[in-house]
Amino acid sequence: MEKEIYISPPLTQLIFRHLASYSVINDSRQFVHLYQAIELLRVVIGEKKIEEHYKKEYVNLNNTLISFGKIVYHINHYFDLLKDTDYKNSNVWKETYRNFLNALSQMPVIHTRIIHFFGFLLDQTPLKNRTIPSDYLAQASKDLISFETEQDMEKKSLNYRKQHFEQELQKLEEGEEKKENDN
Amino acid sequence: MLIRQVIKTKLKQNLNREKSGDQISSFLSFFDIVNLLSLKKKLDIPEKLKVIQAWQSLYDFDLNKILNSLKENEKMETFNKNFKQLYAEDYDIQISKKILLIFKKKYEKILHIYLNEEKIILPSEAPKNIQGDIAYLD
Repeated sequence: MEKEIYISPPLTQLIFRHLASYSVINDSRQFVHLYQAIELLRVVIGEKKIEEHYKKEYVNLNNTLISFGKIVYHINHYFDLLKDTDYKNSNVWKETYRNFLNALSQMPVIHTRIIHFFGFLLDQTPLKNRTIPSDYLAQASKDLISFETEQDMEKKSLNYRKQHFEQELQKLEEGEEKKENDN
Repeated sequence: MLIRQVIKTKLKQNLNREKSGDQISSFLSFFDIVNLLSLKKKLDIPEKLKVIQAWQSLYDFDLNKILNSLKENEKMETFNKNFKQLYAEDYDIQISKKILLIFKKKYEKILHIYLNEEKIILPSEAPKNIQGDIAYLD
């Protein structure tokens, strides 16, 4: 059996962090993290081994990875300029949104090859038999965007103000009661 | 072990995402899960090409045509509202969405079987209530 490639603990942590985000985030940013994890694994395993395995397909694989990188760039660009409530209100006027849609339309075409390459890379390492620490998953979930509509947010804000007002009123009433009791 | 954990986590998140009403992007993440399953179980996905075509047709709108149809001084909000309505009512878009939904329905069952460590049922052995869906895709 072929010897598995050693990965240092800091690099393992970094890969697991990206894989945690890849698992948890589902709004297309997962591909950004998949790309990062693949790039890290690729460095660890080395081009020689990949080339030996893929042989004639190696050039095609590289082209697929370049396309994947471009898709990831457009996803990143779109989300970098996005505020939470904008997601549902995104419109085709914005070039970043059009590029994002175009990138998404291309994703399934290369996806199978990317996943198989990811599987190949994982198989060379001991990571395949490990699991992502649960606290990494919990931390990754903090990056989830809350896809609330403006109406939901207004409702939330009104409720918050109402609660705050009621608490203040209660404090005042309690204060008055105390004064009366003291007198 | 790792891939299985990723599939399981993704599926859970995918259900949450679907609940939030984002059907389209939840489909892309579902496709992601199915490909991971196919990697893990060496599962063939015969509908893949059809699904990719359906997915691409969702984004196959002619932007120049849309911009040309823009009325002078039309407000962006009005344009977007009209665009979203036209998009939602488009026949090809509706068909594409239907194909994606049938695909999802079929593989959701297979995924749950996998995660419950039961034997994966081949399409020909699938329960009768989903065989029609498979035939539609094939």
